[in-house]
Amino acid sequence: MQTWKSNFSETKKHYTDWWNGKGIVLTMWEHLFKEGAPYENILPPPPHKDLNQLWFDPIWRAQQLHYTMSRNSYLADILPVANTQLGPGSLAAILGSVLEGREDTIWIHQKPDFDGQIIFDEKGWKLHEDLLRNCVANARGKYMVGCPDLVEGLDVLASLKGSDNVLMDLIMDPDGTLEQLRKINEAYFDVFNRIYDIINVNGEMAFCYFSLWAPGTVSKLQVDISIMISEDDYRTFCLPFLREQTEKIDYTLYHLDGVDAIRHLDAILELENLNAIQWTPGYGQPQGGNPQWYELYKRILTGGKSVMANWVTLDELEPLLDNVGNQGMHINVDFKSEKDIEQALKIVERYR
Amino acid sequence: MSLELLEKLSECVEFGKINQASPYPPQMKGQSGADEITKEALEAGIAPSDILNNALITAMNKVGQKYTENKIFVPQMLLSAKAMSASMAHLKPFFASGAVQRKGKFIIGTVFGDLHDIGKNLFGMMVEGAGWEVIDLGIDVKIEKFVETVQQNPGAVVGISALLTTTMVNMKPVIDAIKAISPDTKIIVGGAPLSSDFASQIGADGYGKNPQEGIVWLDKISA
Repeated sequence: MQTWKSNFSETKKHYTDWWNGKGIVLTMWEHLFKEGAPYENILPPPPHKDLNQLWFDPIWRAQQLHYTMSRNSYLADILPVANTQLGPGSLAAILGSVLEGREDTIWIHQKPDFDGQIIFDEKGWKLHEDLLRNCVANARGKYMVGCPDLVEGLDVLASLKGSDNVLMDLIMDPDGTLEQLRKINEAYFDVFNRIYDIINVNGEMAFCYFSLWAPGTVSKLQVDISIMISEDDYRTFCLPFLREQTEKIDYTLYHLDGVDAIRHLDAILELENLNAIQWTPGYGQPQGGNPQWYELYKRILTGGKSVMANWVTLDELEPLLDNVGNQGMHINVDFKSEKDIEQALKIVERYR
Repeated sequence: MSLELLEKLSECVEFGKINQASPYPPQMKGQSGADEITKEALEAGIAPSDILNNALITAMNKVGQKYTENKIFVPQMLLSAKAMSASMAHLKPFFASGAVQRKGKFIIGTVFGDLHDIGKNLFGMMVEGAGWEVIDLGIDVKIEKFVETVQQNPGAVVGISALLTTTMVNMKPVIDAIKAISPDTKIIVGGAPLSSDFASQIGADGYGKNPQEGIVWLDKISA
């Protein structure tokens, strides 16, 4: 079946180059509707009965995604990827945390009576499996199905037993914490490989968060809780597990979230197999296209990693490329219309 | 003797030595912690107000300062707060009897729609360590709950926390509702996505970029 993204092979080349420190990817966070007729006249599902159906009914969600995918714009390097996210860090749900769907997001509650054991919960996995299989059944080559935002390491442990407890255990029970993190990584790879088997298309894979596609396995890595810990603790409790991920997954992007996370950048740059780093400045800070971040991007590029800059505005695009260069740049623009995309494409073409 | 005990207690809180059994910090392993030393201090006849003012508040001020200077991080701060709580447990009866006066009441909660609690918990513990009685309403706190608690505790200061850009906008209706029934109630807001500009825009009286800034603001309004 023909993909709904007519320039997908060109986009795949841009992504492959970018993972290897070359060229430019021009895309956006999520999607906007295309102008004109849909690719196919797919009907939407009936309105969701409740929040449970909105998030956790795999058939309803797959149909809703199928409908929106048939109407999204895939100009520039915007990926035809169905967003199957089940909350920020749904690996925790496969290890016993409780998901709660609300209007705008899914919350992950601590595992009730967590006793320190990291135990695979088949019910949590089934939710992922059913959603992914239903989406794949609908997609049939027209678009790809993305890997949900599993998350890993300390962030998952925080979802299981609470941030306060995780942070105190770094000091009070470091050996126990390291053992829990080892088990979380084991579970991560188990789940990740199962998902890859379901969603890969000829070996290629897409990841829901931060618009990722790769000609192999791909994942976004993060330790958001790292803004609360020291550099030494980061090296002890985060780096070894991230290293294992970068060694076992073909293409990896690190999500660097917030000004307070920059103090860990030197450690992150030591991950030899990490391909790229995404920068999230955070609310109250100028966003990704602001000149304030040029030096950070240069530091990342000099460190041998590609850059992903988010929420860049159209007028920031040209100065960004002039100052940071045109090699290894993945730029997410906050497009409002296809006209915006075409305008941005004209600018980027001059740098390709 | 008194001074020595107060200094030892202050050191326990500053370095997060909760009790004798606690393995942290390694250099104080096996020694008495905040729990035992507070008990000893009370038995030695030291006034509870001296324990609060000359050991706990002093120590927590140092902790806040070190955190602001990136000399310690949240795990160390949490353990200091735990040590402070272990000590405070012995002082509770004196607060209840009125033998020790606190600086005031502080109502704290994470705004409705937001289930994050680490920032709220940390600041709550720091405020308690600064000599305030803390009423913790928890997470995902509805407007009505804030209003009801303010009505039940006239003169209390209110702290509202949010960790998401999608939930920080929920702070304004809470502030509006509190100010509508109690215009003089002082309200401070905090949380990672906030800024002082945002705090002003939504009608908050104060903004704490970090716990220490919040404590300084509270000290200023209670002076």
